[in-house]
Amino acid sequence: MTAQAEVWAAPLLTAGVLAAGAYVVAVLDAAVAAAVSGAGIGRSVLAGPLRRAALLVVQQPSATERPDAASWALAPALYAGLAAAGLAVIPWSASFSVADVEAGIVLWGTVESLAIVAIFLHGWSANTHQSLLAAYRFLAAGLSYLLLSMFVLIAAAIPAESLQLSRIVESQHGLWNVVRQPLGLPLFAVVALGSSTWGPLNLADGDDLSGGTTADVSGRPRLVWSGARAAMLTSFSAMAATVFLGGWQGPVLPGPAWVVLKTLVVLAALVASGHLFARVRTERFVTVCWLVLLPLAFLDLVIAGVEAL
Amino acid sequence: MLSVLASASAAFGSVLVAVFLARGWRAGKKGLWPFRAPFLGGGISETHAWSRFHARYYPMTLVFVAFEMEMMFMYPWAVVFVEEGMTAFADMGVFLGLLSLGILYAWREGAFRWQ
Amino acid sequence: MAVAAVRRLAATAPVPVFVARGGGTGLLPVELAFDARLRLVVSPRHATVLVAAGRFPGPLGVAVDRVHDQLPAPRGTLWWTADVDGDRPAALRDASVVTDADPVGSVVALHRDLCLGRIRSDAAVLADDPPNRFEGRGDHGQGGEGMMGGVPWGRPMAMTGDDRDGLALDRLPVVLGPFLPGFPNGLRVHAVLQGDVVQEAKLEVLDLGSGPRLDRLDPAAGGAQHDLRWLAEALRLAGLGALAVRAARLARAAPAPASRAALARLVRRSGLPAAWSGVGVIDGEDARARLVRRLDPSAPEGRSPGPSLERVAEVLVGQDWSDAVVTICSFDLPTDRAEAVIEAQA
Repeated sequence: MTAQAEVWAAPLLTAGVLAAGAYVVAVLDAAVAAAVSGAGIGRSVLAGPLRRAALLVVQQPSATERPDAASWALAPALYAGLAAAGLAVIPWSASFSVADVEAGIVLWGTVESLAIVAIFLHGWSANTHQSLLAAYRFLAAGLSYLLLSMFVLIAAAIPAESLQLSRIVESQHGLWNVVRQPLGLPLFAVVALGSSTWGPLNLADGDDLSGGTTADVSGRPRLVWSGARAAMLTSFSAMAATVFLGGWQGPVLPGPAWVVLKTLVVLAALVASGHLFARVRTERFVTVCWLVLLPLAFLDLVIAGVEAL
Repeated sequence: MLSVLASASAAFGSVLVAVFLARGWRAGKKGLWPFRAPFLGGGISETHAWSRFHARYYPMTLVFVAFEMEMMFMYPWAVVFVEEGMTAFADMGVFLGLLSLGILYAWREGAFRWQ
Repeated sequence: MAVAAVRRLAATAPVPVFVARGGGTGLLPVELAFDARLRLVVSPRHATVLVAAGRFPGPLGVAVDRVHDQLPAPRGTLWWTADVDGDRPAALRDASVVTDADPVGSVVALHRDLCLGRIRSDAAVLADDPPNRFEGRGDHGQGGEGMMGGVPWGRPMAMTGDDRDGLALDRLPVVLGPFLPGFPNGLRVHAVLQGDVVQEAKLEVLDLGSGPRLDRLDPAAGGAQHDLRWLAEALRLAGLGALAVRAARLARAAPAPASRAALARLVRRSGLPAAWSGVGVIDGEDARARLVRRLDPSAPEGRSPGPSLERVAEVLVGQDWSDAVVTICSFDLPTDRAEAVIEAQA
């Protein structure tokens, strides 16, 4: 592809993958919920997400007495943009990625940090009590889990001698990082759940605060926010598949098929965790993050270092 | 890099347009006053929600900043790690060791507890 | 054309229902909780149908009016009651009334008709007035001096007060409930929040009226059924909606011990007991202990009637609001118990 064509094709490809990912997340979520609740998985899991989306399209968007209207619209947009930026650096095969940026890991760090800003802003802008409480408690958790990701991603960069994701995939030839650095994937999963404010780490949109940052959001603004969260979870799963599960590498099937398969496996696990594990208590999570998970992330770095020497 | 920007701006732009079309710039002016009241389960609030919020975890955020700065050194460090070998390992070991002592100190001071 | 197609699709969506529990309903109405055609939501902003269940005398009716006006269009209201002659707040004046044991069919029909435009959305029942008059100087009537005072956009900004950490930060006086997740019927909290900390708290149970009840618990298994309803509410609070549906399904009738034990196992593995440990301690017992006690199918009865509202309020002070909600839920305060449960406890 010429450089020009690439720049035009990139947004379409990324948006398509994210939209498909959001739909798959909704279907997986409905399927797991049906299984856990004992209702049995019916055909409605396929059409359900579309029906719910249609309802949000026709629903009146909520308003509050004095919101920060610009930020209220910017927050989901920023969040979706970050999910797209994150997905764009994922290599699909040895020869193709939307943008194989040299400092891919650094770019991911930016995505994760700014995602915290977007989620906080979404809760803050409405100027209502429960969303504000949710935003502040999310911030505490966000500033705690963020470091984990940095350490495990840097550990993955050590054997590759590069911050480029395609090089990191190549460095896993023969032995995936999930085996070589066993602590990396579980710690990264924590970051994925936190950044998508999902399942046990759904502190921003939790039901105990009447939906948290979405407590006073309805209609299309809510649809795009839910979609952006599912898209973020998709991007994170693709990243996990790339950095820890060998990305495009695998026998028989072509590279992109392996990336999709591995992404789906990670997605399914993350979505299932949402129905099996209770929401953490913010303060306890912060303590565990700093005193248990962060030392484990150091250990991950040491393991990677020793292995590379 | 251009492709990353293009992808991100496309998603950013389309969502922004979607929300603005739905809600408009003046989100506060649409709808009746009772519709716009904050949801408090049938309760009410005397004041606006925005306030000088007591973020009781602020000592933790300072520890966070210390680590976040350190990250900037770690990116190039990771790239040259294999080349430099033991030296790089020892250097970062000292650095992380010091920061870990910082965490222990912060923990003893109760930075991660706020009840 | 396209709009009509989207509306038709929306009409077939699982109906997002916000339930306002009044008097004589007990906890989470299980009939609504496990039906796949419905989805119980935690905010009226997410709902098309408001189901007002039970009796709504006096202040409880005012609370229903407030929530009613917060639903986005298309919106409709259903009054599910065993006593059609009871108090009827403004929000329920034009509502369809259901008296049967199972309102699901009516909810689904209402949602469909609303989405297809066959019936009109409910009109607001409260006056379109700001909570306070805009007062003071300035282009927008924000008034006040510098950063302080005035009533911008109909509400004053919070003012400072000393807090327990020796800081002077904004105090937010709020009235929360009774239609919040985890709250027992009719419970209302008058609180002063500083940041997320409860600085002052007073608990009040609004008048729930008297008359026939909607929840018909099995006299033999009323205690166990009530425990499962409570568990469903607690699980929903913890973000475990699917497990809550499972608990609600079991709560329909006298539950089989084996399926109850299976549910208890899943709850223990979910980490919920750990998340609740150390929260809301009264008489040396925390929320975790109260949860675990109810998980044990062999000892459903023998619960204490619960602490007084004053003691619960004392425990809430100093907690952050998320913990306060867990604390309130964990006590399972007996604001509106069915006779079957009272007998089982006696």
